Amino acid sequence: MQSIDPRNGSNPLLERQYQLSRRAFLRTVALAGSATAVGALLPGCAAPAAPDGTTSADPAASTSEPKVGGVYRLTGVGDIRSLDPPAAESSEDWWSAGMVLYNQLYFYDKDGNFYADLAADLPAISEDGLVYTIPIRQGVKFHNGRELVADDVKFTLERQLWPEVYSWGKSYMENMVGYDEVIDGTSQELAGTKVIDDYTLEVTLKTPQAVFPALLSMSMNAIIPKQETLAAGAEWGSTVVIGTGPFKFVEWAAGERAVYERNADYFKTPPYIERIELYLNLEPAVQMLRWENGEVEWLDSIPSAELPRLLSDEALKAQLRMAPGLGTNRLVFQQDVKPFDDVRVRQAVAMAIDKGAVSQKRSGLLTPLEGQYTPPMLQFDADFKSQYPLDLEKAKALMAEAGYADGVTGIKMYIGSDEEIGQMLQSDLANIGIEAELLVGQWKDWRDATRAGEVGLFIYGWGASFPDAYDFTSAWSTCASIETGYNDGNYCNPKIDEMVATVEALPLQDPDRIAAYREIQDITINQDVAWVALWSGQNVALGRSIVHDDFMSSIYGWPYLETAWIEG
Amino acid sequence: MTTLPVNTSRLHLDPAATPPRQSWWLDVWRRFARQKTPLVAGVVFLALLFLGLFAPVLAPYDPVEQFRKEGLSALGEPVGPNGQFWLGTDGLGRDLFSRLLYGARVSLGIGLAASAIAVLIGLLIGGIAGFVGGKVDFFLMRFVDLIMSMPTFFIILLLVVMLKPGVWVVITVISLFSWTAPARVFRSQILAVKQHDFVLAAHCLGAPQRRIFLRHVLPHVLPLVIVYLALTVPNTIFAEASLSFLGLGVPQPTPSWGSMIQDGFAYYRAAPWIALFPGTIIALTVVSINLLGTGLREAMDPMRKK
Repeated sequence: MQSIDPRNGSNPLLERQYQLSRRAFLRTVALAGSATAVGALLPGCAAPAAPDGTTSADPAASTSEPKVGGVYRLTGVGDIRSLDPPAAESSEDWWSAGMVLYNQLYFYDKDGNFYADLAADLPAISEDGLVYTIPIRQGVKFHNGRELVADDVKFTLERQLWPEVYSWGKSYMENMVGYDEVIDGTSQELAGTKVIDDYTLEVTLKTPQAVFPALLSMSMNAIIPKQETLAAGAEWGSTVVIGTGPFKFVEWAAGERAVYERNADYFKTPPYIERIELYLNLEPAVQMLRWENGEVEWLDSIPSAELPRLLSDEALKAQLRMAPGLGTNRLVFQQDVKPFDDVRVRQAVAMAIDKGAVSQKRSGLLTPLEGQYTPPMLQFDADFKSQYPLDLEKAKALMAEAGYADGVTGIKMYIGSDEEIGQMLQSDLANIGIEAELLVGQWKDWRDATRAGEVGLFIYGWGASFPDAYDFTSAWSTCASIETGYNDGNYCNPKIDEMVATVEALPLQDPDRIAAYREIQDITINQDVAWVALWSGQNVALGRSIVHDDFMSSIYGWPYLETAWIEG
Repeated sequence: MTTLPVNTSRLHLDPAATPPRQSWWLDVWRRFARQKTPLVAGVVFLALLFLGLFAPVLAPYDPVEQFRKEGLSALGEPVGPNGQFWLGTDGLGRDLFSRLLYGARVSLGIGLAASAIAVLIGLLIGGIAGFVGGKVDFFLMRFVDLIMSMPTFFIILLLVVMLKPGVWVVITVISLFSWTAPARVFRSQILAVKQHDFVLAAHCLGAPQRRIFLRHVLPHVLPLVIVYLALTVPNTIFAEASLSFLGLGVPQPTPSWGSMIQDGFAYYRAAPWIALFPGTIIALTVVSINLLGTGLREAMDPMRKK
């Protein structure tokens, strides 16, 4: 086996920067936070067949027909930072940019199917896998009435890389030819993008990357109009917001609310809902009161203590909007910290964690995981089993074997914001003699200490941006990602880097690619025990029975409103 | 050595300075026992102390043990008061009654310890200021004014965050900001006592300052010290509860009444008893100590003595 030192930069594939976004960071915290965090929709598992049998469609729905009209009010805990797609990074503006005001070239529907949205079709890929020719849909109009052309798409891909433009997702696009020149400001144009005609764009990549079209579905690649954006200057994204999406921008009162209205000239069937009102900065308890007063059609953050009540009341349960999540939580070992440098201790910890109890505590909305991928992902393997199931006796024996029969004290464990779950893990660890002090708060406050080896264990949440484990491996499983990604446990097995490098070029559905990802999972979970896969969350929100087809998005955790309609 | 001219006709020994101790305490007790409410409050407070002290014997369960099966519903909800868990369980399936008993150790322990330290500091600063007087008095009292003008709780928060939460940090920080009111009262009492003839007499007899302070002045302040000890405890208990409520008290999973209220905060609708019981106990404690303190003041106030 060829051994590659990931840090010497000799391998161009390994050298690639997986500086994942702030967006991913924010989601990290959110995921560690609660069951109602970011998640995803199971491919082939439409909302009507959601696991608990609930749907957004009320039985009464069948009697009435969709009709235009109505106001759809949403409440969010967060704020809007900007409505410029690359800068939109909290749930509220991320959703607004990604699903409401703009469109991307490609997108995922509620069933997890990938489809061409502003693109007329899937891209044609050259034999060497480097050149993507993307046909652009004709007759699509921006909200100001101007038609979308390939130049707007090229501009969209370029502008978000400009040094003066804030984007959380720049590094996702680093495989495009010309990326480095635009990033360092020596060029405003991407050498790798070429407008063939008004309806055809050609993109050249540095290395074959099958996941590239999926990257184009991410919200920072939502298509913006070139001239209008340049003309708006600093106003762009705050008072001037022009997209192609199903809803048009009306106003945004910072910290308070945003209002969007129906786009009657939408290039697909125009939406039914007349107006969207998004209320910002509302505490979950306040949201709940508003919902109970009938002032809200979509409640983003259900207080977790309220979930049992909602789930045990049939009438309330029917109003829940759910979809399995794209995010996972792991308990990661800092490999440089004693006693977690010993694989037997890591195995013991894996055998001490009672995931089922946590799942029950969160009313079954957290799904215990055997491996590190979530059900909506191509790489998910329902038959995969961890070799270290809950077994306290064996775990204690392993601790003793590793020389820690008397227990370990002084371990620090970062748990995110959910203290209740943190205390459950703390108690699990105490069962095998590990006395852990809980660290609560935002990951950014503890990351440096963790990397420096002061924190031995940490719960790490990660939400994928599309139903593929692409960034699960590249961002935190490879040796290279210790330096450039989020491999904060300093886990390194060169074999994984090698495998990732090989499978990158294979088509997403390729059995070899999927097999390689599954093998990586076996290495990290069963052989090296680099972390313990804990659980994946459900996206849960409260809707209303008079609203139909406002399906929960797997990726965004917020509703699809393109085809939603309101009774009465 | 020159002798000061002394008006011997005014020289007399203050009966309280060298009291027949037994009878004074007995006197205080008689007057205290005559007041029904403080007496009941005293009994309640002693009962709470007893529960806290003997928590390991009285508590049916380990306060940190999570009963994930019996203590939580199938959907993960806390269970209400029942035969097994008398006061129900909290969000993690822990026995609320056992936590309440163990919480008493932390909350009362921190409250009493912080008050004791605060009153001692108050006595020291107030005593020096009142007894020495002059510039020392001026500067010490301006220092007291300075501390009193600060938004105390926010500084307590800041200090606890900086020093990392823990029992001793919480006790120290709370007591550092609770001594000012007692200090002022002690000072004025000492100023008053200082004017009495028996102090002057002691001076004349050549008694050293230290002896005058300890033997003649301090006994007059002692009743006040006991009263203020009682009156400061509610504040320190509140401070501890507030810190724990904000997650800055004694680290989890050790129970304290404040952190138990915090645990119940998320469940205020689903399981109101989680916050209700510790809240009630805090209220009961504070009211009983306040009534006790008032009763003691009544009983010890020399002005009310017949």
